[in-house]
Formats: sequence, structure tokens, C-alpha cells
Amino acid sequence: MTGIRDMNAEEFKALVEVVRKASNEGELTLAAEVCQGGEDEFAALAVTAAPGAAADIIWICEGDKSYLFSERTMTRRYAEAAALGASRDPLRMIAATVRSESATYPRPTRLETFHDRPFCLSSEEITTAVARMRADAQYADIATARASNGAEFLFSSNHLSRDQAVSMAEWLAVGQCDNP
Amino acid sequence: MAAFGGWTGKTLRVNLSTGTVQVEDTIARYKDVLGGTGVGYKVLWDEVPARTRAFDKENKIILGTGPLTGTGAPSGGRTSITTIFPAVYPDELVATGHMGGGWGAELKYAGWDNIIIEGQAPKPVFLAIVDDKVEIRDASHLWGNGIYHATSSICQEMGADTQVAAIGQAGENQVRLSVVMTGFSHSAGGVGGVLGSKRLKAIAVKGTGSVRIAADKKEWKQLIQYTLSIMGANNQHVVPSTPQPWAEYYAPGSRWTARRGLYWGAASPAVETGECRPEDLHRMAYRTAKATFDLGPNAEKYTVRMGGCVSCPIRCHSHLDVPAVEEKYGFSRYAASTCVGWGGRAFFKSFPDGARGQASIEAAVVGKHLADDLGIWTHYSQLQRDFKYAYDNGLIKANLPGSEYRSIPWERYDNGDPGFLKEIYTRIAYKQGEFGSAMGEGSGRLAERWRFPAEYYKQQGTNWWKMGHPKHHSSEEGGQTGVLINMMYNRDCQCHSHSNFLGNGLPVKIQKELAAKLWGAGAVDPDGNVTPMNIDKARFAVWSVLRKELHDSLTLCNWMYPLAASPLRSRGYEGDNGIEAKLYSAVTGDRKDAAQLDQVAERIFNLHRVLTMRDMAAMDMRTRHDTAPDWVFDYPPDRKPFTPGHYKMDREDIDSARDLFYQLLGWDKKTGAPTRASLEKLGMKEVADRLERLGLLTA
Repeated sequence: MTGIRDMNAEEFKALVEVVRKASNEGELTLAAEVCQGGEDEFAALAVTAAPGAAADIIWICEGDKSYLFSERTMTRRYAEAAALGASRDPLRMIAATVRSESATYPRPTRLETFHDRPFCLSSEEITTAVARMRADAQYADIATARASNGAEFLFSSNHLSRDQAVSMAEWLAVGQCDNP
Repeated sequence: MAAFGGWTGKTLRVNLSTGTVQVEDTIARYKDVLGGTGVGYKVLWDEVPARTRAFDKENKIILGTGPLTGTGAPSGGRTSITTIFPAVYPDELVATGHMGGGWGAELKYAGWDNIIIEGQAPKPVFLAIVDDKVEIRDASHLWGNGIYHATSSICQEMGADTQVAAIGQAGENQVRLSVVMTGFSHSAGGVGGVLGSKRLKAIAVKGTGSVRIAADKKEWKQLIQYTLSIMGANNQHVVPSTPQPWAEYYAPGSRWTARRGLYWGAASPAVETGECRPEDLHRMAYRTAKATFDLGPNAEKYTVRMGGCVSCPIRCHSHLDVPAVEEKYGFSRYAASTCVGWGGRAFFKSFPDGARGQASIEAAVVGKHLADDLGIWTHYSQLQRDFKYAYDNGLIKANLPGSEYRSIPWERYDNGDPGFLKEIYTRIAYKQGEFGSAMGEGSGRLAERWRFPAEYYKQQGTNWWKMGHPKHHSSEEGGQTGVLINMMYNRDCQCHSHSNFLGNGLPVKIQKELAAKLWGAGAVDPDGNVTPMNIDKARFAVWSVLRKELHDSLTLCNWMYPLAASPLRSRGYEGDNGIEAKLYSAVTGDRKDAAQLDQVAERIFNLHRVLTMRDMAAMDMRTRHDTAPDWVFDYPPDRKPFTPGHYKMDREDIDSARDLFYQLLGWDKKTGAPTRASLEKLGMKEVADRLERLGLLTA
């Protein structure tokens, strides 16, 4: 595998195309799989060897891994979620997603969400992770809200009150269906 | 050629008593109210005597298109049907049913903007329109048949490309909850009985003309592309329902349900909806995969494709193939519908295999065929809620003669058997027995007839709002804004302007940023955390109502417009508040900006108001009309308004909401009635004069 600092302009552009193609398919590119080197070297080459050729390519780090994506076809929010999904640390992934949604929208997060891409957890994985989170102090803010039809949601008490979370869970699982 | 584009320039008046037809100049008589509901309100105000009842011969029914109908303006295929509405209770008052499909566009291609139906035919007839040739034809052979047969027979007679709007047995029998239906699945609720009372089975239209657009081709094409670029999915939801690479945000309740791995499973071969990125306008029709949204994940394998109205890129009607419906119940396995059109399943308390299992889907399809063939209106599912309430509280048993009660196989209902629906719908359509006669009357008359207890009107779950109709996106969507909108109409308000925006899926911070530009940031609260009333919410409510009237008159679909938000991150998710005005100006050549067009909508809304006052013989709309049920203020009982976790309203706060709403429209705060000044500002001096003669103008 060619190191970034050794690439010529054409090789660098080819690398960028690989990243773009993966992003268009909804996939992150693991930096270590396509090149040797770090974000600084990538940025330097993007300026000197192929000016403007990689303006849409973004590096993100999750744990000890770095990923590349093109913001032409993938948002940073999705990329970060995908990187979390790739970490295969369901507790951290679930907690980060729940905290983000409780703060951003705000809304509680339905457990079924974690079946979807980019999380791709099985029902068993979700159930196990939620059970483990309940016993782990670093996830003390992650709480459960249930709708009257049994649908289960998680929310972060740092961002949503229980009353509001329960009300929204009921609306999302039952109210919206009854008021189309 | 008419001076303006859009309108054909001709309105058809048909007197069924005399068998005569007349042609009127649309521009001269109706341009100031655009079309659709505007024309309907004007005709009823000008021509129908006060206190006329829905099935009186003196009542008129107006099928109205507008300048945008049939032009190719996106989602511009609707028809408004306005009349004195049978299900309003206790007074029968003005209201409108709306239908999509292709009928309205065909009417324009035939050279007509509106049809005014008056009088009563001596025998069953249908109206056959082929361009400027209009005939009142015998319908004896169709009377007594369902909508499916009537539509097919007329198409055999006039040609397969005929667009037919018809009533079923329910309409013929003047069931108050009955529809006018076109295209086998596009229904205008509540107005079928009025056609039945006039012995008018159907209106069939074939047109070979076109609608002139004032703008040059390049301008028009650019405007259409621009409009499409800021449209989302059904209900103008602008984010997908699942996380997707291209999307910064997502919302599980969004109707933008397309995603990788979701299929039209009964297509041959199956079609993957895939990701439908906002910039890919060629995939707009895949965005709203509605069958799974309406009926659950099991509906994926039954979905053949999505369909919808003429010139609408948002295909919200699911076309299904459910073989078991034919095998088990003898109805066609093929069905198309959307939303509460699948509401047959809502009669049941449970199904053997769960709320979204196979039996539920079969009930949806069986119910669709029965309701749409017999021509029954389920009243935004209030028919189903009332049925369950009456059954659960022993009111059916208490009010039916014993023999009639025993003739109904209740065990099939208790077992969740979709075949039971035939018992319900057939009895209602033919007004069979006490059950059929009462259930089709609508909530107000049913509750009175069967002496529903006082709790019915006060319980949150019954959805009762007022005057015989249910809530429709009320306090649970926008707090006071939803309440105000629901107060203003005589039927369920059918307004989606506010709920489209609030349900668009964007984070509340962005919604507030967008709201700040339109009504003020205070218009939007975080979901489930209602704050006290403010002027921004009143502006949001007035805007919502005026845009609804505008859409029903232009016509544009209020299940898509207004386009206050967009799916485009590059625009900061901003839509275009002036898109209706841009389309109107381009089509007609009558250049108006958003504020000027809103003023026309305000004129139309004021016509609705004065018509209501006239027929209620009341000036005091504030206490007699603009009301909300107790549950809005009392539920949940253990919570205080303006605390998180509920939508409980405060009576004094809603009083101030009324004040602000009236203030913005220039109406009298004490009564909620338009004033001379507010009417004359809208060019309605004659209306003010007449209101004064009726003793209904405030001092």
C-alpha cells in the first residue's frame, strides 16, 4: 500500500475517487485500508499535489480508527453514526445516539432504530446492551420510556425530562398513527 | 381566449329540476375568489337561502377546480365540493369535501372551471360532459348500484378515458356519512348524500382541450423544476424516516419512508425504493412508500406500486395485491388507497395476529372495497371510534331491538374477523334497521339518538371536537395553534398547513429558525412542551387557515403545500412561502405576491365565516362556534398546563388565543365576527351591507 506522502497527484485522485464511491454507497472508508499516513499528510498533499481535488473528503476518528468520507454524498452526522456502528461497541453507540437525539430534535429514540443502517444491531444485541447500560454508571442518564402499545424508547435525562420523553414516546408510537 | 391563463373562463350551471344548463363567465363572477371553495362559498352566500338544510331542494352543490388545476403545477389535481354539509350538527352549515384523482383536470380540459348543481331531478340521472356538450342522461340502470359498477358502466358508455365522480348506495339513500368518489379511491367526504338528494348519480367528464398557461414555456418549466426541488415526501416531510447517508436528520414518523432494502414487493419483478436523495427528482415518486407506513411492515410484500393524483409527484396511494382478500372474502385482491381510506381495520379492538398482522391488512382492504363501493364516509375514522365506544359501553345493545341485535354476528367482531365489516358497511349504506340508520348519521346525531353519556363529549379518546365532528390535528399538534384552527370550521377542519410543518422531521431549533422568518420563533414549541399563547402562534394559526383556503381554491393539495420547509440543506431547509403566488402568477398572468394572494384567501375565509353566521343566525361566534371540548382543558386531570409531557390547555390562555386570532383578522374580539372595516378592507362591502340587514354586523 502506498503511503500518502509518496503518492503522486494521479494516485491521490484515485484514492479520493475510492472514498467518494464508497460514500455514495453509504459506506465509510477505513483509512488504514486505502493508504498509509495520517490526516495531516492527506491535507498537505491535497494542497500541494492536487489542489482542490479532495475538498469534499473528510477525516473522522472513532476510537483508534480513522475513516474517510465524501461530504458530497454523506453527511458528517451519518458518518459519525456509521463510525460508531463500526466500533461494535453497542453500549457506546446506543448512548451516543440517544444523547444526540435527546439533545438535537429533541426526542426519545425507539429501540427499533438500532436495527437500521448504520447501526445494524440484532434484537438480542439491543436487549443485551440496554440491560448492561442499566448497570453501568457511565450510562446513568440513559433511561427508558414506554408507549401504551409497548413500544420502548430510550432518552437521556441530561436533555429530556421523563414527562416529556414519555409523552413523546406515546405520540411517536401511538398518537401519530391515530392522527394520520 | 380568456384574458387570463389558468381559468377556462366558463362555469357550468345545471338545474336538475328544469333540466337546463347555463354557461357563466368565471372571470367576471368568480375571479375574486379564485375557484374551488371560494366559488362554493360565494354561490351559497349569494344564492342559497339562509337556514337551508343539506337535503333541501334549495341547497346547491358546487364542484370547483381552480386556476392551477390541470396545469401541471405539482400536486394541482384536486377538486373542492362545497355545499350545506349534512353531517354538521345540530345546524347544517357550509363545509367542503375534497377529492384528488384526475376528475378536476379533466373538467378543465373539457373547458369548465366549476359546476354548480341546483334543483332536484325527477328521476335518477347522471351528467355527461364531453367538452362543451353537456347532457343530463338517464341513470335508472345505475341507481341502486355501487360506485365501482356505476363508474365502469359509464366508462363503457362514454369511453375508457372518461373521468367519473359518482355516489354509491349510501349517497343515494342520503346517508349523512357518504362520499363522492372518483378513480375508485379518491373521495370527497360528507357530500355524497347531497347528490343523492338531487338524484344525481354521477358526473362524467371527457375533455380534449388544454389549460392555457400565461408564462412562456421556459419560465414555466423552470418554475416547475424549482417547485419540485423544494418538495419533500407526503405531508411535506423533508427528512427520511431512517438514518441515510445523504440526510443530516431523520425522523421515524416521516412519510419519506424509502430506503435501501424496502421494496414494492408485489411488483414483478420487485422494485427497490432505494435511497431517494432530494436532488434526484426522477425518484420523487419512490419517496413515499406509504403501504408500510399505513399498514405496517407486512404490507411491503403486497405493494405493487404507488399511485396518486394527476400531476402529483408524490404518490401517496398504495396499490396492493392481497390474494387472501379474494380467497377468503370474495372481494377483489387488488386495491388502492391511502391513510384513513384503509380504516376498515380501525373498527376492530384487536386481531388474532396483532395490530399490524395479516388480518389487519385484510380488514384494511375489505373495508376499503366496502366503503368505496357503497360510498360511505368514515369521517376521519370517527365512525370507527363511535362504533367502538357504543359497543364497549353497551349502547348498541341498549338501542337496537333485540332481534336486530341478535341478527348481527358479534362473535365474528370479537374474533377480529375482517368479513364482519360487510355487516357494518352494508347496514349503514342501506340504512338497515336501527344500527344502519343511526351509525350513518354522524357523531352528533348518533350521540343524541343513542343518548351517549356526557362523558363521551369530555373524554380525550373519543376525539369528539364539536358540532358533530372529530378533532383534526388539534392541541397535540401546535398547542393553541391547533386548537384555533379546529375551532374555525364546521366539520373536522381538514387543515394540514400547521401539521405538515410541525411534522416535517427537522429539529426544533431549525423549525424555530424557519418559523422566525414567517410568524416569529415563538410559533413553535418543542413537542410535548407547550408554552403559553403568544402572537407568533396566532400568526401561525391565521396563516395555516388562509393557506388551506388558498389551496382548496387554487387548487393545490394541502397535504403537500405550503412548502414552508424543504429537504435542501443548502437552503438551510427553508422552503418558499411564496410558491403558491409564483405558480398562480405564472399560470394566470395576474401577478400577485404572497401577501396579495393571502388577502384573497382571507376574503374566502371571511365568506365561510359570514355564511356560518348567517345559517346559525348568530353573531356571537366566540361562545357559540369557536369552542373546544372539555378534554382539551381537563386531560390529563393530574397535570397543570404548560408543564412538560402533555398538551393540556388552559381556558384563559385559549381566550387570549381567540383575542389574538380575531385581532389579526380585524374581527370583533367580543363576538369573533367580521366587522364592516375588516370586510371592506377585503372588498366585501356588499357582504357587510347584507350582514347588517340580517342584524349580524357588529356595532
